Amino acid sequence: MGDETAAGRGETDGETRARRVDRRTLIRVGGMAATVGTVGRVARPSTGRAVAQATPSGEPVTVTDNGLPPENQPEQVEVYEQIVERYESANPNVTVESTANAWDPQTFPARLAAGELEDAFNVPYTEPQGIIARGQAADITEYLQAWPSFPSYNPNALQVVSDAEGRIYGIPIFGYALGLMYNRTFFEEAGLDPDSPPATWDDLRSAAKALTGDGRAGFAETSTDNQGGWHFTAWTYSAGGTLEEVDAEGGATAVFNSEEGVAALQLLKGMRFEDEAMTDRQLLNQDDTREMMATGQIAMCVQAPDSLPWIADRYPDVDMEQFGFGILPQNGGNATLAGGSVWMFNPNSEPEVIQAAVDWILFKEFDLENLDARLAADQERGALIGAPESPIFTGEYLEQRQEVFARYANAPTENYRAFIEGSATLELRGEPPVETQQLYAAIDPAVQAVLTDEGADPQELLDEAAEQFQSQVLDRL
Amino acid sequence: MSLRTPSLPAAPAGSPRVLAPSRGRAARRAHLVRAVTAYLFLLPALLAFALFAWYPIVRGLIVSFQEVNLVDPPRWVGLENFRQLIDDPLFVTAWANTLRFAGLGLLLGYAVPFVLALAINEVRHLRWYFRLAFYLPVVLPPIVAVYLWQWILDPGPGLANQILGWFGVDPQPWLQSSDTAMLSLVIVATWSYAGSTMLIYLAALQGVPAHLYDAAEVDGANLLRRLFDITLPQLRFILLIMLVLQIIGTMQVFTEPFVLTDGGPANATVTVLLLLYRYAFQYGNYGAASALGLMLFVVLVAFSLLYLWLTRRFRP
Repeated sequence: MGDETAAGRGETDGETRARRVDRRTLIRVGGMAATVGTVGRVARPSTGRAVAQATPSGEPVTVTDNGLPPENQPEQVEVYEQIVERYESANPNVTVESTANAWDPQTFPARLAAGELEDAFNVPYTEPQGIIARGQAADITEYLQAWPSFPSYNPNALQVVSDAEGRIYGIPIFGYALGLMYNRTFFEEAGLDPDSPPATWDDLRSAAKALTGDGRAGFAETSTDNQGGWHFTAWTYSAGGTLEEVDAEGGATAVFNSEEGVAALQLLKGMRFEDEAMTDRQLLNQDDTREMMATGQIAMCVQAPDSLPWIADRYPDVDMEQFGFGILPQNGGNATLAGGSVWMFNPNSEPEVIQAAVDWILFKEFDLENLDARLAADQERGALIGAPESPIFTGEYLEQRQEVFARYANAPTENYRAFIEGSATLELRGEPPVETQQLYAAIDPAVQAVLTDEGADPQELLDEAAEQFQSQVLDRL
Repeated sequence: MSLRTPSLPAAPAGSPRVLAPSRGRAARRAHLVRAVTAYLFLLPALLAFALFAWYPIVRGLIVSFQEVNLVDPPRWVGLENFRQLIDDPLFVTAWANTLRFAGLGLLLGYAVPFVLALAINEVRHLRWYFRLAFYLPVVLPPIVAVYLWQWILDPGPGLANQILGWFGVDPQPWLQSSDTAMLSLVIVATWSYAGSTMLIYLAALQGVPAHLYDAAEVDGANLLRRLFDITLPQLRFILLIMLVLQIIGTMQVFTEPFVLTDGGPANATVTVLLLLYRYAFQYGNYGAASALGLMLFVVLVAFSLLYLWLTRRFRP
């Protein structure tokens, strides 16, 4: 062992970073989970265009964003480029330049300070409040309110991107709730009803035991990249617990070393060592469990529904009919974790560029004619359309949007009925509000311990994590 | 790796020591031209080092005493960053883990390349093949090598457990247990870096005068006697240097725990550099990260001074 180099690993893999972006989110998104592909009525789409002209002056403007799909997904890149072409032909004075630099918390401050950040950047729901508080995003209130469909926004979704005064700093585009992904074929083979996935912790344990065998684990759970803390939060919610308490002065207290938190860790530890129904390999992240689902190494895992198109894109030969989606199994909390993603805008960009960037994002995400064309292209390339979402809109625009989706939906939405109907009865709770990523980072080791050490003490682990998070993070704010 | 820099050619024999005034001026001018030329050649390297090494080091020193978030102007906070680090329970864990890695590295990683070099030096046929085979991991990009080991050490169908199974040994958890994770990382690092160290030992072995071995053989010395009475004494300088270099290298371990375990399970493989990385790029606390870097820097400077002293004290 000689001259070892201690070089940091830059995030160079587009997929890896995309995973970090699309994974967690939260905040209460109010509405119930609904599939976007179940509305039967077909109507001519009306345009959702916001601003008649992208910029008031009509002067040439170049807009940059980080929405380009990764290079190793050439078909997605082609569809994306078609959208850019449509926009640029309708707005000849605007040039769109996109990168695949998916948002990365580790490089974000440096790129902003160095002037390297794109004009528009996509982040998960965990981030906007911190970004707003640090002055790292532009105020787009007037631009967004000028969009004709703005009144259809779910107020709870807008809350994610608003400050205490109600100023708006971002555009929510997507919402979801965590649930249970499972393999229906394995359920049938094990004598379980594939239309009734586990809805309680007890059901989950017995199903995982029944599904384990033939070189396959009944269940797998994440515990690295802050995703152990992320899913622990959902499990704690499902038991009725909470992670942080914020007082009237804004001071926060870590309270996750509670009875509910301990119960969540005991559930995982019991499945791992008593039931022996989990994978031998641990220290997993979300991509790992998705791959394990796609390749039949596990029968169940916690996922957001966007895991379905993720698998369909990366494993085109996998039969998507085999996957079902249920709610996060409950233990008295009657709740799950909800999240999504938003676009925010570089505060250092010129106002005219920001205005054009907002217009471009509204077109890209919400223009109904564009959506129609994009879904047609997505359907042609074999993408999965119709995975459940938690709607961020209400009223007329939501209906119009669902009508477009209904036209192209090819996902086996019947397989998601347990999730869609079950989510309607659950409270969708947002992520813990203060220093969320550091909270998750503090909890990861506790989740790792119960999944790798038969003698681990959940209460002791959570006490240590809570003390560390409180003294090192919360008390220093 | 070159341990010595080539010396400049000596002045030609017979150069006049005392020069007439006019010839003295000419000589001084020639000397000046040579010096300026030399410094001009050095200039690009000096600029590059100043910009990419010395300036960041000085900035890191300054940032250690500041609160820096890259958005607001830096604020002087005295020793607060150091206090925060020392209060962090992971601070002690990270240093203990790093020392553990360095210690296991000495036990395993230090011996392996030397033994390999000795063995290859004794081989009469296909020596080139063995040199290549053991050096090959060094040319793999570190990330590729580390991911490869993720599969080898898989607790289920991993190659390592399959091999153990041939000998009736139960599957080991490797990276999945606090007890074995660090040892697993040392194995990975040893595999990755032993080849380059082995080449240095091999080169040193070639420099041991053959007549010493010949004389020992005539005296009836066996392999072990030759090893302990000739090889080790002759290589003590290079062994010492490699020891210090290895300690410096292992104290900076990062890639293996970052990729394979992310510091887990349960913080069993959080090292100083991994903690530094977390402070800087996960917590956005560049001040504390720099403070931790400064602490590590001080420790490594101590070892570097030891290295310099050794190279002067024991240079053959």
